[in-house]
Amino acid sequence: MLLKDLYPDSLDEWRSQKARFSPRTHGSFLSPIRQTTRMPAPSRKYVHGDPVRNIDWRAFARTDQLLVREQRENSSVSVLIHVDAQETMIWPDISVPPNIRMGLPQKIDVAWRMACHIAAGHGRMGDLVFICIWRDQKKREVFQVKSTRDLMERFHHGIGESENVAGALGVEETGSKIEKEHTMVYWIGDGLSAIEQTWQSLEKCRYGAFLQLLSSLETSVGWLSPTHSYVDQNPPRKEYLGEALLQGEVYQNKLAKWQSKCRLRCQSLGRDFGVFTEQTPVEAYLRFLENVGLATRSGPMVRS
Amino acid sequence: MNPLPLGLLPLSWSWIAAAVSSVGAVSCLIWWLVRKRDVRVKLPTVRILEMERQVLPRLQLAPPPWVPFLCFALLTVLLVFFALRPTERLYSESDPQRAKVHILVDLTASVSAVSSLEEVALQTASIYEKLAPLSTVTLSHTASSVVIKPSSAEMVQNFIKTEGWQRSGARIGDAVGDILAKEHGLDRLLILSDRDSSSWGGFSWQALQQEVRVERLEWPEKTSAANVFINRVERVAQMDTKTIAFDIELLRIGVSKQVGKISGSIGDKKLWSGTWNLEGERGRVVLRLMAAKAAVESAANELGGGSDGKVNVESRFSSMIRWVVEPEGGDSLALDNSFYSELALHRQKTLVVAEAEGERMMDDSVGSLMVALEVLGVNPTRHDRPSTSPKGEALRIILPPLAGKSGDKTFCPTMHDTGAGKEGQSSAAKTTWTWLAPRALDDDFGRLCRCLAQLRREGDGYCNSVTHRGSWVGLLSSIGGKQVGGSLGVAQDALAYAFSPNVAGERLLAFTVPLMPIPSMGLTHARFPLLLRDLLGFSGALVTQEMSRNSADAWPRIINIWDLINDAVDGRLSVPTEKLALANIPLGESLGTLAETKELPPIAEIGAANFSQALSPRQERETADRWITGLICFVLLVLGFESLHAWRFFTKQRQREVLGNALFLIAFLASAGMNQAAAAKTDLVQSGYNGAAMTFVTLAKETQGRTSLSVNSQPISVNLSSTGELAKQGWLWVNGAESLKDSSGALKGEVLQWIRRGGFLVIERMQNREALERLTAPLFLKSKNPNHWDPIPPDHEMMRSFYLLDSLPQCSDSNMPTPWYGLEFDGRLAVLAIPYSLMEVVQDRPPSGACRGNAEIERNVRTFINIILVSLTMDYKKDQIHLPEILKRLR
Repeated sequence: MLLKDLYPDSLDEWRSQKARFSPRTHGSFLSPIRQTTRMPAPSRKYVHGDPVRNIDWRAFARTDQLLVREQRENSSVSVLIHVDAQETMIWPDISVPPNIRMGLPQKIDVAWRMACHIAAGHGRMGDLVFICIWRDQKKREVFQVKSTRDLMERFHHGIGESENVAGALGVEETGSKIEKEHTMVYWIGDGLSAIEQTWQSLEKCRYGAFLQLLSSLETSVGWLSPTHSYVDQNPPRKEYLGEALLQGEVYQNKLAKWQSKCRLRCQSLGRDFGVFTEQTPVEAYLRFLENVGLATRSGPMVRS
Repeated sequence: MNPLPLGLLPLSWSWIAAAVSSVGAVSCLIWWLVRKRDVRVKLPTVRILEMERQVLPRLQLAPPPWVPFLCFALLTVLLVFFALRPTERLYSESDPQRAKVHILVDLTASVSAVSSLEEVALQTASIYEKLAPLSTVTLSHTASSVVIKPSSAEMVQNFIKTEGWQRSGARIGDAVGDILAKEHGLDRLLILSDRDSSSWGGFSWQALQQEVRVERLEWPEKTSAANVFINRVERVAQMDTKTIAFDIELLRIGVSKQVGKISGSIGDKKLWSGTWNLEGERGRVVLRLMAAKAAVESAANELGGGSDGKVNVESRFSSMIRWVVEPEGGDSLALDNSFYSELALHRQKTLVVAEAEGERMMDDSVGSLMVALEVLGVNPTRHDRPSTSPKGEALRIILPPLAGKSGDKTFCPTMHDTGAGKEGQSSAAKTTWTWLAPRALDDDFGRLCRCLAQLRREGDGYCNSVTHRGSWVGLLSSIGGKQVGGSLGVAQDALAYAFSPNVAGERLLAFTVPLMPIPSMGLTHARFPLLLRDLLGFSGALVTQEMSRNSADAWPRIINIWDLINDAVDGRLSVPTEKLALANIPLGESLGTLAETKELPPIAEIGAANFSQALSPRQERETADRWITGLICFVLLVLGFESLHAWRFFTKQRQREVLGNALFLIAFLASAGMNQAAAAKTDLVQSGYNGAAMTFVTLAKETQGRTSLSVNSQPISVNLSSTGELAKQGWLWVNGAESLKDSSGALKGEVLQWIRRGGFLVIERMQNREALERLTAPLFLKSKNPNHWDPIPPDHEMMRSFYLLDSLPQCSDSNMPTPWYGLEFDGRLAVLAIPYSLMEVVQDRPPSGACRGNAEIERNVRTFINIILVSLTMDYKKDQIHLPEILKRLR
């Protein structure tokens, strides 16, 4: 299964998923409050600095080892998912020859799938989820995912129609919500249009990940024609003949270099970085999410 | 097939060829140039690339599809080649016996200066004798269009001598044009003429070289002797009534001193004489010669057989003066020593017929007129009543008494009673005038109209509607009067209306204002005599100074006789033959200017040994037949290749595109094939014409050419008894009213119904007003409007619907104008009665009779166009009024 087929699965299990982790609290993160327990499961070796009262003295008596028995309740956090919906994300468009474009979703479509999927996962875990859609560098639309139905409605409305991404369902202009500090921030975009906003957003949060989403046509050059010209309309307007792009694998080298820079920047910020296309297997995508601690808690969220 | 001898292939380069080759070359180049397909693909990741920018090419050269390109290129080359007008020379062997030679002899006056007529005849006969064994010879001269094929030298001489020198000028170019039009296949044209520039002027003989070989025969040069001739004779207007004086202008060409005598004579009587002296540099002198008037009139009367002390103008030759110049030392051209001019004696007597209105002069409105006539010297005589024994006055002024005075019938004469057109006199040259004028502006114009009808010897039915000056003016123009005075086209401003002469040569001038000073109208006492003088001059009763001056010029002085020959109607020249023989020598002939030799055709070498071979050279002709055949074959070949290419393209590649183009081409060709002219033709619907062969091709062509209307040249005939057949037609022309009448003499019910529904009826050969009223009486049974037939007024839409007509044509053998009547029904002109058959006049082969001149046919065609526009649009300038009628027709 590929990312282009990703679906915010199991949304009907929202409440059961919440209740699965804790009968009293919910959330995707462990609470910093540690409590003594008699259950053997959450035992670990004593580390200097642990509260002495959490030491299982009986176990020490039996095994002569200092074991700490403590548990931390799940905690609800605020998650903000940025979706880059600027003009570079609305691609491949009609300028791409039909025989090449055929069957490929636009990047914004895949990004929307990923955003809804992540939002659904966090929602199931009881987190407070916001989605911020960037129309351009100044215009953004933010809304809070209040329920499964709300998310599904927005998902279905936005699929396939870039301009409808969350647009027609009454986006709350909650600009203030994005200004507050969120625990978890995801940025889903190609990084071509609003890269500075990406870094700023990722800097503010405690945890974050940059899911760079490109089209498979952007990562491969097999479809480029030497006689056609390839253009970016944004100033400074750039236009290159396909022949120039293909010569000496200039394009691929430049692209790899650019992605490497992005990765290094994320690493410097302590954030996760992953590159995805619509052809990326869902398994790889989930593995990435595991690294940021989400997949392990929510399980697979892809409709089989 | 033998290869074409390219050496014999003449090519003529031209601007067309240059343009075609340029366009073809550019087109071929453009075919190679392909604008780079501007395929731009948006690729956002290009944004991250930092590369040097490239200038992307917009155009590039790409090989075109070879088959169409080669076809195009070859056709372009072919087009350029044919733009060079390639021809091939074809030759045929000579055949002396089949050679055709024409000899044109110049008999103008200038030739007489260098040789005698006898010499010309002999020379021509000599040439004929040389040419006759070698070819077929035809002969003509510049004096007429007669071409003969002489059988002997004597016949040639007689032909020349019989004609004699011509006193009129002639252009050789026009004579040659006439010959070439008559004699086809001429090989050689020999012109026997001097180098006089007036004869050779305007003759572009080089243009004929492709058609015929033009040569001239060597002729002796003109001698250097001086030539004295009369250039102009002008009658001197003078107060002295006892003498008649002329100014004669003498010109001398050449520098030698000349003296001599001059005389003027009428018949054999030498009445004027004098001497002249042209010395040294003086080349011009004007002499004034006088003669006693009594002697002149006596001589003219003796010659013309006139009576009553008046110059008999029956024959204008009796009033001709022959002026002769007699240089003492002789001169080079004798023909122009005699000059002819008109005597121009036209002083007439005038009769005024007017009852006295009072004993004192101030009481009499005619007083001013009489005084003015006396001042102008036209010898007025006043009678209270028309004289029963006419004195032969040339002008009669009839002023009917005011209302309440004597009756019209006793006062107003008929035209014959005026005595002016007395029987037994020739009508050819004599024109007499009758003036009919009201006595006051508020006169009873109905009475005046009845007087007019009586003068014209016709019924006065049309006078019922004449009550005031406006209706009087309308009537005058509708019965064929020509406006005199006033503003052009404004009938109400007219001073009078003149009518064409009848068979007796009598003319009528009907005034719309009284002949008296009317200061309120700007006709003051001072201007009245001047106006009267102009009117008398117009009527020929007074010789004004200007007329006197022009009278001498009135004698023909023809520069080019061929202008007259080409304009002749039925072979008759506009100048009588007798007068032509006495025409004055044109100035150009007298001047004797010689044309440059290089401008003239080469001299024929008749005596040369090879003349026989040169007479009928190898026939050489240029043709492009073979090239055109080749072109057609090549085009067909190219079309075949193109079709194959298109088929291949269709079957293997873009079928839909080719199919679309093919369908478009088929649709285009189909639409072009089916694109016919609008079929909105107007039929000439006739009834009662027995001429099955009546066709109107010329009329249809003229109507279509001048207007947007199309008329069928073949008339259609309808059965008036069939309602359905008639109902389909918009108008109907009927020859006479007989076929329209039912047993009671009224219109048939079908016709009545048709007119009520909007039909337009034209009845020809119908002028009886009572009969017309009886005919249309049923139309007005339920109408409040009267059944009233009125003459077509001058402001009627028929007079202006297309052409602005000042009057309607009058075509009758009696030359007596008759009015056109019209019947208004339902607010429109529904029935029109024409006194003659307009259809006969405008048909393709009109029978002989009246209205056969080109001018008359043109007037009838214009009137027809106006009628058809009235019938189709009625008064289109006020068509809102007729909108209900139009709607009625449409329904």
